[in-house]
Amino acid sequence: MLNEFFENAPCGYFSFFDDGKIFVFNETFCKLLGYDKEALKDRNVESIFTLSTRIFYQTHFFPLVKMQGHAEEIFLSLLTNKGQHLPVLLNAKREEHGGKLFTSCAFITVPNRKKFEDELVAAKNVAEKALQENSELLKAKADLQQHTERLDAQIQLVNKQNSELKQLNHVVTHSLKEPLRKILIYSERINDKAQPNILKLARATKQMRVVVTGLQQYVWLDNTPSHFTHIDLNDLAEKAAAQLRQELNADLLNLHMVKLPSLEADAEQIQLLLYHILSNAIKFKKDEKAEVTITATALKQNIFRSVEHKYKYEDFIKLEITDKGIGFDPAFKEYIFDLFRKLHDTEGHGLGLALSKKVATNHFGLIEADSRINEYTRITVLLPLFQTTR
Amino acid sequence: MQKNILVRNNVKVFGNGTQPMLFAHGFGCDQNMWRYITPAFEEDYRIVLFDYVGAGKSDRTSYNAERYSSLHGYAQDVLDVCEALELQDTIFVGHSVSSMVGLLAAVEKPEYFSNLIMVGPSPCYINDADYIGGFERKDIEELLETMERNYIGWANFLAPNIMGNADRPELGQELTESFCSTDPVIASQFAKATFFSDNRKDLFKLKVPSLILQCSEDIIAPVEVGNYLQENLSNSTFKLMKAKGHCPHMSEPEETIMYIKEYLG
Repeated sequence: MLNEFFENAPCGYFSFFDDGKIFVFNETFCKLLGYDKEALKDRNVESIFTLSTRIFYQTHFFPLVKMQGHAEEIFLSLLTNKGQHLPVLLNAKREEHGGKLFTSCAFITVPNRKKFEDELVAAKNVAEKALQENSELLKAKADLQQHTERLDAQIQLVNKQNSELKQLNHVVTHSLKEPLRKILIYSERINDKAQPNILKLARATKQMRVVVTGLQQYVWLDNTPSHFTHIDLNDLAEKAAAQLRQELNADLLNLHMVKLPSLEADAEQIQLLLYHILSNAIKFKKDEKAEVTITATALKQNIFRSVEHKYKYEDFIKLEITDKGIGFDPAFKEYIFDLFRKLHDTEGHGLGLALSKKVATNHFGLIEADSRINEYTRITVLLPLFQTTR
Repeated sequence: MQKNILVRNNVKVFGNGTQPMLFAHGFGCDQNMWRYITPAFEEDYRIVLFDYVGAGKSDRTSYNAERYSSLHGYAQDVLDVCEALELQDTIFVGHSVSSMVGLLAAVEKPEYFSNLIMVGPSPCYINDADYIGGFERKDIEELLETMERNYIGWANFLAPNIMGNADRPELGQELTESFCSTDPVIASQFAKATFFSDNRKDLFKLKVPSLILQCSEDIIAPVEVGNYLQENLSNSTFKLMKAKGHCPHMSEPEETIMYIKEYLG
C-alpha cells in the first residue's frame, strides 16, 4: 500500500550513488521520463540530464550535496526518452544504505513556473544591465575626471623635465665635448708618457669621453621617436655580437639561441639593448668566453601598470638573456638599472643597463635582472608583441 | 599589500612540512572542496588554500570584471598568492579550469613551481575542427541559462543553513554559509571565462613537469581531452582514474590521494 503511494506520488523520486549509478526510483519518475523500469536500472544518472544540467551537476550540484549534505530548490532540466527537456525543481539529500552513501532526490515538474521565470529573468537582466551601465557610466565619469586631472599634472611635470633634459643635452653635446676634446689632444701632445700622472690624466679623460658618449646615447633615446617595424631578434643579436667582436678585436662570446619570434620594435634600440647586455656578459665572464643563452616565451600581460583596477591582457614576448658569468648579489637587482651604478670595479661605466632599461621603457616593456653569484646572471626583458595599438 | 592579498583571497596556510602545496579550486566552488584531500598531505607539506576573488570567502569588493573576464586574471590571483607568501618549489594542484590557470601562472613565473597536478584538466572545452573538447558553443550557452535560472534557487546557497547537518556534524556552520555560494554575476562571468577559454597554444610553453589526472566518464573533460593534453604537454604523466565524473577529489578522494602521492614519490 505505502509502496504504491510512493510509486505513484505526484512527485518524481530517484536516488544514485557517488559513481552516478541510479539506485531507487519511483513510477512517476519513469512515466515523466518515458522510460521502462528496466531501462532505468543501473543507468548512469547523467544520462537523464541535459548537457547543461550535466555540467551544472558536476560543477555545483554534486559538490554542494556532497559537502553540505543537502540542497534545495535546484532548477534542472531532465532529458526524456524522446530527447525532450523536462524542467524540474529538485530537492536533494545525502543518505546511507548498507554502508554506501547515496543522493536522494525528489522533484516536481515546473513547466509553468519556467514560463514565469523566463519573463522574470528577462526583466531582471534588463534592469540589471541598465543599473550596471548606469553605475558604470557614473564611475567611469568620475574616474575620467580624476585621471584627466592627474594626467594634466603629469604632463606639466614631464614638459618641465623635458626642457631641462634638452638643456642638459646641449651641455653634454657641446659645452662638455669641446673642452674634453682639447684636453685629450693636449695630453697626447705631452710626450712624456713615462710620467705616471700624465698617463692617469689620459686614462681619466678617455673614461670621461665614454661617459659623455653614453649620456648622449641616453638623451638620444629620450628625444628620438621610436621607429617600430617587425624585427628579427636573432639577426639583431648576431649584429650586436659582431659589433662587440669587432670592437674588442677578439671573439669572447658564445651565443646560444633558437629561432626567436618576430615582434614589433625599434631595431636600432633593441640592438643597442642586446649590445649592452652581451657586453656585460663579456665583462663579467667567469671562463675564457662568455656563454650566453637567449630564449623567448610568448605570454599575456596586463598592459596597465600605473592605473589601478584596469586590466587588458595583451601579447608580450619574454626574452631571457642568461650568462654563466660571475653574477652579482641579487639584493642589487633593481639598483643596477640606475644611471652610473656599478657593482664591480671594472672598466664599465654603469651605463649599459640604464640604457637598456630606457629601451624597454620606450617599448612599453619591462626589464628585470636576477642572478646567483658565480653561477649566472639573467636579464629578463618583457616586450609587447605589437606597438601599433599605442 | 601582502596582508591584503591574504585577506582578499581568503588564504589559509597550515601543515607541518616546508614544501608548499597550493590547492586551487575549480569553477563552481571554493577551497572547501579540498577538505578530503588535504589531511593526507598535512604532515609532509605546507598546505596553502585560497579562494579566487569572487568565490567562497574572498573579498568580493576586489572583483574586477575586466580582470576576471579571462583566465589570466585568475592566474594573477595564483601569482599574487605565491608572491605574498614568497612560495618556492610549489606543488600546484588545480581542479578543472584551475589546471589551465596554474599552467598560465607557471608559464609566466616558472620559478615559483616545481610540479603541476591537474585534476580533470581541459585546454579547450569547445569542439574545433579535429579537436574534441566535448561541447558545442550552444551547450555552453545553455549552461549559462541553467545557472541564470538557479540564481533564484541560489538564495539557499547564500543563506546560512545549519539544519540538516545533524547527521554530518563535522561539516560545521562555517562551511554551510560559504560553500558554493557565488554572486550570480560573478559566477556567470567565471563560467564564460572558463568554458570559452582556449589554451591549446599555451601548452607547449609549460616547462614545469605535470601530472594529468583523467577521470572516467567525465563529460566536462572527456578522455580525448586528457590524451590531447598528454600528447601536447612535455614532461607530463598521465593517469586514467577509476573515479567517474568531474570531481574525483570529492567522489574518490582515496584514489586521488594515491595517485598524487605516487607521483610525488
